[in-house]
Amino acid sequence: MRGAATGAFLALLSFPASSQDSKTACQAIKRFDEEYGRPGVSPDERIKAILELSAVKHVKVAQVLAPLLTRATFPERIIIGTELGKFVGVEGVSPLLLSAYAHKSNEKERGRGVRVVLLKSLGELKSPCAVAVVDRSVEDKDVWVSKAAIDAAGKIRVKSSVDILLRALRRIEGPEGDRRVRLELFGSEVPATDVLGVADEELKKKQIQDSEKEQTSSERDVLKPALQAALESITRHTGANSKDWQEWWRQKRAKFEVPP
Amino acid sequence: MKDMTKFCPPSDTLAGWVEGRLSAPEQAALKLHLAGCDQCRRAVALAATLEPAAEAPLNEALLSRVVSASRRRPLWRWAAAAGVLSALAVSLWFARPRAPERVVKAPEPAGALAQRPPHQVGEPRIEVSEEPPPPSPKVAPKPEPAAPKKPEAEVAKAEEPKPVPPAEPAAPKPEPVTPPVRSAPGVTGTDLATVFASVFTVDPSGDLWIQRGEGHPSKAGAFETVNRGDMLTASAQGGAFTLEGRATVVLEKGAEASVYFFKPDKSYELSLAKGLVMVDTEGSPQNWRITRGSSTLAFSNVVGRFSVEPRGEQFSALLLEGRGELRAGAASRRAEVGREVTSDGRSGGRGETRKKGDRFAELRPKSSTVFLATFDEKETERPFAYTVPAGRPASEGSGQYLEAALPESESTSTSSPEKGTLKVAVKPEHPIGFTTGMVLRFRYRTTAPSFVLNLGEFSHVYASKSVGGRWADAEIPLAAFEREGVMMVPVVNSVPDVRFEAPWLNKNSRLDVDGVQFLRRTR
Repeated sequence: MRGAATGAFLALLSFPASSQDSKTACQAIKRFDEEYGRPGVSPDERIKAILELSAVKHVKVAQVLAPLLTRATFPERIIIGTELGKFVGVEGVSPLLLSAYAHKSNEKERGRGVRVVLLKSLGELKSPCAVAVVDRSVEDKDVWVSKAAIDAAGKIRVKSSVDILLRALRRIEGPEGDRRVRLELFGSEVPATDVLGVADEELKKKQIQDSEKEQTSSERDVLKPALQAALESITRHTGANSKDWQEWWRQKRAKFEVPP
Repeated sequence: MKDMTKFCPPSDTLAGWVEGRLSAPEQAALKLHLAGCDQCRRAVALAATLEPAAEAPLNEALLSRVVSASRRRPLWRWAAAAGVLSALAVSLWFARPRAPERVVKAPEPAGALAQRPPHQVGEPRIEVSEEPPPPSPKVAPKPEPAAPKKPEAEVAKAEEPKPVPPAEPAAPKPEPVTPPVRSAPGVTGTDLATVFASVFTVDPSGDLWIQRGEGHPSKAGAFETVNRGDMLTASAQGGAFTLEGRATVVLEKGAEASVYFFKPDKSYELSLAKGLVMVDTEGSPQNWRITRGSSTLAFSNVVGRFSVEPRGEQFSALLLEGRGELRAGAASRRAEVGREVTSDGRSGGRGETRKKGDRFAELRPKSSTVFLATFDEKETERPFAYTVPAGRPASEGSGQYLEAALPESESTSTSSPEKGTLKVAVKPEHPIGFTTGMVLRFRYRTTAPSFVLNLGEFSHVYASKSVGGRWADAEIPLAAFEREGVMMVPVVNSVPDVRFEAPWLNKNSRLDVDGVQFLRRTR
């Protein structure tokens, strides 16, 4: 009897808190709708409205912002994707991010930045339901999407990711890892310009290649440290290279459980 | 000589009055002007206190000067006493050891707004558009040096010598001062420069001209320093410019006005000669004092857009949008959008806010400079403060530019060249807030096929179009910069510095940079 009364009392205490959060969220959503949809609103004012709304960490807010991940401008999508990654502990956010990740409007090179921030946010939320998408994205052709997925795998920390990460490590330690990473968003070929003082065409071509090498990184330079860090985060083991890791994993794999 | 009865004379003429250098006709004309112009009378009264300490008690000497300068306008006792105290404060401050010169600071960057908690509302409105950028203006040749400025000295607020109703709040107390060490006496035009400060104009558009003193008008360049007495005009069509990156000023066809900074009130002064002039404060609260002959009207803490135009001997002001306090004549009140007010304090009818707003949008510069470094300015006269962490100044016929140097640890010998990176960097004093549509514009000359630009942590590889050692222009939207696959986004990201890096390939390798400019689109 006393236990039931205590339970009811505790339930009564918790009820006002959740309804207040919901009320706060509703008020924030109302303000957002007024500001975001205001006639003549500027792009920057819309961004500010998004930042103001995302300060309220509630699933209703996530449900209002998530659809914009597939139809707002790219800067807005990037901001929304980043902000939703801060909704740690709020149920129901990860599926919204996964849905936006798979949407065709975020495909290809144009949507790369959005996919990167979504993967980063999925890592922050540490949601097990995101593992399949994260693991698949480790082998994405785009190096930055791959890196974001590797980082996310290291944060989510599930056993299934280890095989994927080791395979990626073996790949980039080989010749594939020499591939250069272009820094600009929409890659363009470097034109053959007039390199002062160099008349020889072959030498000029070589200097253009040298110039590009100076200004870009290799995939190995970008991904190997991330892969090492992710593997260490999941396994709490340190390996020198892929061969070392493979050897250790062969011994531990059958009974491995992710340590705390 | 300009008609001194109607329009405020230049600083030199006022200095001549104080020093007794004017001819009889000039004195007579100026006397007539001073009788009706509170502003010039105040300036003369302040400057006239710059002399060795008199044998007589200082307050008596100052009181007699202030009273004689305001001969035609009776002063309330308390206003005179406050004026004396202010003049005393001024004289004591002038004798202090010199402080560093005023540095015009860039307005708070928009990106900084995103650093505030999201719950703060009512941020200044930022206007942006998707219109294509105007053609890159040629940077004006180095402007004539302004009158040498004295380093900044604190000037106590000068009191309004007009009679006010007893219900008005008491005059503000003069700022406290420390006992001075008197320097050499004497009144010159440069002393008046401590009261009035020049301003700089950028982003001229339309048909904007500048007449300096008695000289011939010249077309306004991309960056100009404008002194008190310099007249801005728009003849064949309207003209406009950005004032110190803080406000936009539009002159309708045929308008003439001068703009400068009045230090005692920390306000911009618009001296209206003729025609319609419109001002937009671009979201930041500002103080504006508008004068025409002996008529004065002031906007305090105005955020928004207003217009002024002559009405016979008077002029009228109209708040087109926004808010602010308006003081005309003896009255001070909240400005009402759409309600015209004349400089003698009378309310007029409803003004043509929409028509003027449309005309403003048509004439205003389509982009405004948020930051500009031409490397020609003296460090103490830079419109936007910055430092140069990498690169060294170099000069040629068209002015100064920055030349990349290899870091000492990477320097090479001609006999056995090694690899290295040529670097040039510019660091604004304040991070530049990124707003939608903002672009980076610069001039460059390089032997490298491409070079990397870094804005903080964001990068962009730029393919060079510089051929044969010639200068080329570049314009890159900030949205093209990225970090680990993610583009820069407005409001959230800001620009702490700009770094240019090119590979050192051989002994002829070079990277030169000039005219670094961040432009914000206007809507």
